[in-house]
Amino acid sequence: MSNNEHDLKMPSFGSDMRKGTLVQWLVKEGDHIKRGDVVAVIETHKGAIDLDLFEDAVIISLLVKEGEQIAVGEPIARLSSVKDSENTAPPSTNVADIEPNPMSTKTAANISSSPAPTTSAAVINSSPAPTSAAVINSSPASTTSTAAINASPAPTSAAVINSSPAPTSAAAINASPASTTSAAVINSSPASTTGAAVINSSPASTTSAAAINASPASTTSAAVINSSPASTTSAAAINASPAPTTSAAAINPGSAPAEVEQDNSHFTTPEDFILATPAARFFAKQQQLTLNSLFPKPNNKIVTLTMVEQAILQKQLSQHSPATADKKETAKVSAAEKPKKGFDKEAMRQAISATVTRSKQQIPHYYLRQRLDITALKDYLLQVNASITIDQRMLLAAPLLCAIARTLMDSQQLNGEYTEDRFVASETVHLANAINLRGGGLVMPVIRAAQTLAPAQVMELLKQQVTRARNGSLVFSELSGGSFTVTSIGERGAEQMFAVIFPPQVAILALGSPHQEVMAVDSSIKIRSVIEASLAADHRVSDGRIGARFLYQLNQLLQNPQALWTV
Amino acid sequence: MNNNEIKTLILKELSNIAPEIEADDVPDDQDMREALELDSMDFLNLVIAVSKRSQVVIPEADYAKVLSLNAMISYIMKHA
Repeated sequence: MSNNEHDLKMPSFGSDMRKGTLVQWLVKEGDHIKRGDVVAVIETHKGAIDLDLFEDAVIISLLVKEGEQIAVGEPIARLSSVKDSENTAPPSTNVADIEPNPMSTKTAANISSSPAPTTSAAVINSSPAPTSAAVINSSPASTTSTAAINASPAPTSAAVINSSPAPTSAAAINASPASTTSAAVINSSPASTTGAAVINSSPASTTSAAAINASPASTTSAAVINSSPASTTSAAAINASPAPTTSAAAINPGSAPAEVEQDNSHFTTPEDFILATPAARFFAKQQQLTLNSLFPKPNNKIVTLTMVEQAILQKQLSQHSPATADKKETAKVSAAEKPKKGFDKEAMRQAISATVTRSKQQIPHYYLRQRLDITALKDYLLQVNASITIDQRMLLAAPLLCAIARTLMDSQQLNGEYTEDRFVASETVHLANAINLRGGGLVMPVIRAAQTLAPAQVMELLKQQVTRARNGSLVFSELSGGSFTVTSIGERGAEQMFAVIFPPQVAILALGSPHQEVMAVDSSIKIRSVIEASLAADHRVSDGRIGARFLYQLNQLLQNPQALWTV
Repeated sequence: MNNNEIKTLILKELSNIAPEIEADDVPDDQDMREALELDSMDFLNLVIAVSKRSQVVIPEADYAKVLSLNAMISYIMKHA
């Protein structure tokens, strides 16, 4: 969770994949990548697939050239994670997002902040790290925000907290040898009770800046810079308007010149030196612009990323300069030149063949069958569908997948991965859903944290995934990291199917075609809609009793379909 | 809309959903899902698209009445 620099490795799209060819890089060194951005196109036996990232990161270096064939697990690029705000409040939320993908290259978590986290913290401990940045943007009611960077040799460090209403905020940078730039910035509006920015930098920090911008009624504000030998520039600024009860700016310099002023202070800086947050400096550099060209007159403000963005935007508007096209546009252009995507049917057949062979040879399957009575579910769904517009209409699969995911939460031994002679249960249900491709082949896109979703959300994801599966535009993150698989034979298929476990998973549920059967219900004969469900599970991990309980609970849940519509 | 217009409309939507299907391959009276390998998602998309274009909303309860091309045409003619 805390180290920020790591390798991006050649991902595996399946247990049978040994290597992949890096067809094209869609990013360059220095690019800031957002979670979900596609960074490269990788050619595998399953066709060319977009590799997207699970995190916000900066590309430090690209380690392989386009056209090179790389073994799975070998590094292809060096990344530096950009930790975003972390929400620790409701532990059940967003578990999917923090779960690093086991088949992928290991990523730091990126959790979107949801309303009212009680604590937000970003911590970066990095040794040799060219750039470190911790950014917390938290709005409503984050009671505590902290950003800490412990970086030894780190040229650039930045901790930024933008929090509106936030009672407590702290940004700390401990940077030892050779930090060229350190900045801690806290922008907190209304009612920050405590704001603190601390920079401890020993030898040779050339620039240190701690700024607290707190408007109305910050009760306590403190900016401290401890810099020993030879900090060339140190600045602590507290801009606090109306009446902070306490303000303190302290600079403890070793031999550095220092000046402390309060209330819109003026820094003592070299004539042409512009104080800026590293993120701002980095972005300006990335855009091939110097800060001096954007802000010709040094003023008393530390230039922030937002200011740079605005300045660039204004410049663009006035110049219509195409040279500063942002990363997204560049990505779009390269996307148009991308090689044709899709699934190579021949290669996919081979991949399926290798996977099922290995599964059947290595996994001791056991099988259980349960007749699921879906009469109540079908009736309820018919009512729901009659009450919504036609394009929101749901398929039976949507509530069924919800029910399966929620039931799995009680069946740990069926949900997870078996690797290196050990089973690791997944804390959340990443439901892989097998989609048949016309003309042959299967793809299994994953619905993440499926147990947290309502049928309408699952339906929306299913629609998108089926569309993308059919036109071959599924991206890596959608195809990997499943913790359990569901496969359905469809409405025109066999009544029952027995499936092969998809390693490294340990169980798979196969759903036969929905049909009507004569059943004995409460001592009378009834015609009911049913689905024959059969579970194949790994006997190394669970025994039949576990599987049987899962199927029984699933059937029970389906008898109360309203419950599925409440998350 | 006459019979032919509705037929054209359905065939067009069908080819949007499954581009590999040629108009000639679509049988008049056979279950389209079986003949054309449409799954429930494809069929739902067809119903949505045809309902939108023809302004005739086909309720889920009536799916059994629109399974073949001819059946779908007459259903829309009847409800337009």
